[in-house]
This record gives sequence, structure tokens and C-alpha cells, in this order.
Amino acid sequence: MTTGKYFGYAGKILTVDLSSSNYVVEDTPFDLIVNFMGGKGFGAKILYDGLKPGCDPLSPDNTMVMATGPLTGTLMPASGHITLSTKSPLTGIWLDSHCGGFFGPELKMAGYDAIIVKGKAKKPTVLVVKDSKISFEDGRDLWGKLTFDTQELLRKKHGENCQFMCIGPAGERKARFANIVSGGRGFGRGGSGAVMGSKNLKAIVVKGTKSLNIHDLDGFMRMCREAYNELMVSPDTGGGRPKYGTNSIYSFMIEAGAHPVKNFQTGVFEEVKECNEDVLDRKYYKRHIACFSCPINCSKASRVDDGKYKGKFTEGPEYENMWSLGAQCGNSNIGSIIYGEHLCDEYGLDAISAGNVIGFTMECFERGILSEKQIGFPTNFGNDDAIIKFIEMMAKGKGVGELMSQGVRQMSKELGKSTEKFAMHVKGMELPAYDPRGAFGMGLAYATSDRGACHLRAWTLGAEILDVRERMDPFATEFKAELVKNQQDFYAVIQSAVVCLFLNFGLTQRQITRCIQTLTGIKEWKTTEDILKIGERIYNLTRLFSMREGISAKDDTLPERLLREPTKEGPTKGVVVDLDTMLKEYYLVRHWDEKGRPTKEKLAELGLDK
Amino acid sequence: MKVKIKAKFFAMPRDYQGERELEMEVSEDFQQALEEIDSRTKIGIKEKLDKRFVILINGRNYRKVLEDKSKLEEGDNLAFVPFLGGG
Repeated sequence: MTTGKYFGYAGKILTVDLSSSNYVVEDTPFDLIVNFMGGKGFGAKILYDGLKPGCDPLSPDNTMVMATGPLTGTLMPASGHITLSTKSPLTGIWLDSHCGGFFGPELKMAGYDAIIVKGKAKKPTVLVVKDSKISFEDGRDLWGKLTFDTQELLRKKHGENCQFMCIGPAGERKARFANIVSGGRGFGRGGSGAVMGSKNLKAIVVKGTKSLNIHDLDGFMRMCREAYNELMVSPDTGGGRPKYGTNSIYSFMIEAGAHPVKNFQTGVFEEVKECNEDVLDRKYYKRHIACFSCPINCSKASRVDDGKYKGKFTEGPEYENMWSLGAQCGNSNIGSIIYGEHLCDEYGLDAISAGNVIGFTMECFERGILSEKQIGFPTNFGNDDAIIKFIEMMAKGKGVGELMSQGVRQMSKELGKSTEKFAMHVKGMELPAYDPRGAFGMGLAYATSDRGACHLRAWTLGAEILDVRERMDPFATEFKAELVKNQQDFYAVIQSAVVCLFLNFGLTQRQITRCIQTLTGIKEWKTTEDILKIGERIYNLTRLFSMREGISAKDDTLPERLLREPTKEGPTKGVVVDLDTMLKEYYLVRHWDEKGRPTKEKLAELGLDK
Repeated sequence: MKVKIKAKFFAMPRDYQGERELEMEVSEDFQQALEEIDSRTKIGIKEKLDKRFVILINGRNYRKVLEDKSKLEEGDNLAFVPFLGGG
């Protein structure tokens, strides 16, 4: 049975109130579709309109919006994603987080473009959504369980054909960067797991049996085939990524000095000789794993076959975690990285933030700001035992782990002693695996990302370091504002059409928008520019959201280490980021005033002035 | 004049070449050096340079580096990197 009167959409939004165990199913408004597309766009509009400014992200007043987009769950390659939007307990501002795998398509097949979750259940609860059958089940026997155990028990109860998203012990105790796990993937950053934990929502189960209407079936199938072929001939999505996963860039990042080492103290990592993507491929990768409808197969199943961590395994390790639990901590023991990443998944912690905070803690120890007595054990850079201990301590809130789990901004605030100079965050979100002193564009990307420091709003390193046509210089400020704005707007489209961001590394913007057009047939989306405008609208709306929560131009900045402390060696020796120049140009390009506020004219142009 | 350089191969070039690094003595003239490297490796520099991969000299795009210096130097690293994206 097909669903939805709009092509590509399921046609309904499910709103659940956990406080009263009630729910409402409404039609997806066309207005919302045509102006905000889906996914992140839906979240931005729904939360901007419906969330009380200043509300405590961990109170029943916060709302979670899980939403797919028109391309989700179709034969479009890599269409297995779903987005989650909420107010972040880590940053206090806008958060959108994205998860691969199979949950998104299943939700669409159940007949919903989005689930909105409000309130707080009186006791641990599991929300079950099976087509039009919605129920609230007792989750008390699952509370306290690790994420994979939780999913296994839910699978036994509800069947193999369901999809799940759940929190672990870290989310239950509202650790500020707790994540949500779904299958072997997750909503990683910003503490969405803590929001879910604060609502006493342990898990969501979804099962769907419907299908979709397509506007121009022949056209869309042709585009899907073209997309598939393009992905397969790209050196990225058809070469490096299938073979090495996200670690295809590992050696290259280190070569360019853009892989931060020891809490961004240097870009030189000699250990790359024994810790690199080739070693991963030869010794640790056992199997490829793909998400729904994806030929890229970037995910890997890894296992340690000998040594201290023999028997440990993970789905990964991702490039970001090879960094956060690796070079960020001065660690090159791949076995420990695999084990550490898996522990983060089990407990439900964002591994990027976790590793960033551990590296910060190690630096505090080496500087004598934290003592062995305070921590409980010595914790110099390179101590892999300490990394594993810290993950458990953060997940459980034990000892210094409790402070660490509040995030590096809060931790440095409490420690004082000028630690804020090397607390590597923007707006409270810990920096991920790229050093902007190796590519200035990433500095602008981090400073202006709408959820705090993030590499998934603009990824400029390819253009800055590799691209021959644009002749960009990674250590120059020219053209970076345009590049970052264009990527942010386009990534917002991808995160609202809801497909995997990695499509962007094999397809052109034109090809992706053509897929959206043939699928939906929406007349208002005639050109690529029409669709990019939706991305621009979303990016301005999330800006308004965060401004309402207190963000201003002074928060569009970088940690002092990147602005004033050049590295002493390697390709980035002597470099600091000239953010001011790029930021001034960025505000101009965005039509924001010198205080970083969208101008009245820009808001009117985007229809955001009401 | 000849200089000792290190050729590094990442991702797909690494796959074609079968190894990550190769130390070799090449001409200090960049174009000449490329021809010499091409004849000694399996990555297909002539057909694929700037189409499938690019070269980083000591971590920086080779075109940028050659704007500042015209010759290769002893100890230079030449990394062959495909057009990759992040995530």
C-alpha cells in the first residue's frame, strides 16, 4: 500500500507526548515541505516555532524531532539516513545530528516523515511504532543495559525486521555528550542521548510495511542509475572509501599537518608508520558493512586478533575516532582505539567529544594542573590504559569522569588556570579531527558551524589542499567565505533530503538536486538554485534559533591555541589561523551584519521575517 | 643534479603500487623527476595526475610549492593523494 499524497514523502507526522502517553498523527503540511524539505529543515522550523527560548535542554520542555526527507528510503544510493534536531545540553544551542543505517527508511515505510517527542515519561519507556500502531511499553527492564544488549533484547521481542534507536547508561545519567545508537550507527554529537535520557525514553522501535509514490519514475530511476555509476567511478566513493572507509584520508591528513596531535599541540605524528589505514586494512578490517541502499560500503567490522586487546571488535574504527582516541591522546595502539570506540558505542557516548576531553585531561596532567591523586592514575599522552579507564569513568560519572563528561568547556571553566586557552571547543562543541592551522577554511567552518565546532557543515580540506582547478591555498583567507557558505547551504540540503553526506564526494550538486526534482516533482523546485535557497533558509533559521539562546558574533571564534599558538614543526610550522579576515567576509557573503545577525532584507528574501 | 626523495602512496595509488613508500634518487627538475617516478612505479602518473590524484610536496599541493621553488630538494616527500573527501 503506498502512502503520502506528496511524492517521496510518507505524508504524516507523529507527535508523541511522553508525559501523558498520548500521541497525535497529522498530515505533513505542504508549506513545511516546499520551504524546508525535510530532515534538518523540518527540525529547524518545528523547533524554532515550538520550543520555548531559554528552556533547559534536559527538562520535559525540550523537544526531539526525528525526521527523514524525500530521498530517504528510495533506490537513491546511500538513502538510509535520518536526522534528529533538538536543543543541545552540551552547547545550549541548536543541535542537528544524523544517523546512517536503516532506521530512517523503516520510519518512512511506517508512514511517517517525522516523529516529534515531547514531555517526559513517568518511568523508563520504549516507544513502539509499527505502521499506524503506536504504543508505550515499560522500559524498566532495559534501563541500565548497554546499547547493543538493549537492541538484542528488543529484537528478540519485536522481531528481526524492526529497527531501533536507544540510549546506553551514559544517556540515562544525562552525560552531556551522550549519544543515541541505532543498529551499528549513531546520532553522535551534541548530547542527543542525554535529551532522550532526560525524557526517560530508553528506546524507539519502528517497523514499516508501506511504500512510496514517485513523481517521474523513469526519470528518477535514470538518476539513481547515473548516481550509482558516478559513485563507483569516483576515486573517493568508488575507490578510497570502499577500501579504507573514512580512514582513506588518514595518511593524507597527517602528511598535510592537518591531523591534530596531543590536543592540537602539533601536527606531526611519527607513529603514522605503524598506525595508518593500510595497517587497518591488512590487520584489522574483517568485513565491509553498508547502510540502506548504499554501494559505497564505507563501514567496516574490525577485530583485534592478537596482543593486549585480542578479541575486541567494533563497527569502525572511523577516521574521527582513530583521531580522538588516537593522535589526540598521543596514542597509536589501534587495538585500544577499536576497544575504546566500541565501549563508547556500548555506553552511548560520542567518541569524538570523549577523545577530545581525554586529550585535554592528559595535557592538564602533564602541565601539573590535575594531579595523579585527583585522577587516580598517571595519564600522560600515549597511555592507552588511561583512555579505556576514562571512557568508563565518563560513562558512569565516576571520579574525574563526572567532570569530563560535562564537556571540555565546562571542565576548563571549573579548572580555571588558563585552561580555556587549550580547551578545544567552539560554542561548547568539542573540535573534531582537523587542525585549522592546516587548512584555514576549516577554521571558518568550525567558527560558523551552527552546532558548534563541526566538520559536517563544511568540509573544505579537499578544495584547499587537493583541488587543482581552484588553486586554493590552505594558508590563505581568499575564497574561504564563499566556499564555506556554499558548502553549509548545500550540506543543509543533503541533511534535509536526508541522504548520506558522502554522496557529496562522488556526485555534483546538480546531480543530487536532479534526483530530488525527479522524485518529488515539486514545481517550486525548478532549479538547483531553488533547492540551494532551501539550504540557505535552514542555515539562517538555525542561526536565529541559536541567537535566541544567546549566541552572538563573539561566539563565532576559535580556541586561543589556534589563533595565537603556532605549531613548532611540520607542514603547519609557524602558522596561526587568520579568522578575523575570513569571518568579516563570511558575514558579508551571508548578508549578516557586522554583529553576525541575518539582516532584515535577507530574512525577508528567505521568508523568515514573520 | 640528482636528489634523494621519498615517494609516498595513499589510498588507491597505494593499492596500485603495492607499497606505501619508496625512496628514490631523481632529477631535481620536477617534470623530469615525474617522468623518472612514472617509469619506476605503477600508478600511471601521466594519465592520472590532476585527474585522479594530486601530488603533495612536503604536505602542500605541488602547484603551490612550485610557485615558490623551482627545484626539488634533498629529503623532499612527494605524496600521491587521490581526490578524497572527509567525514
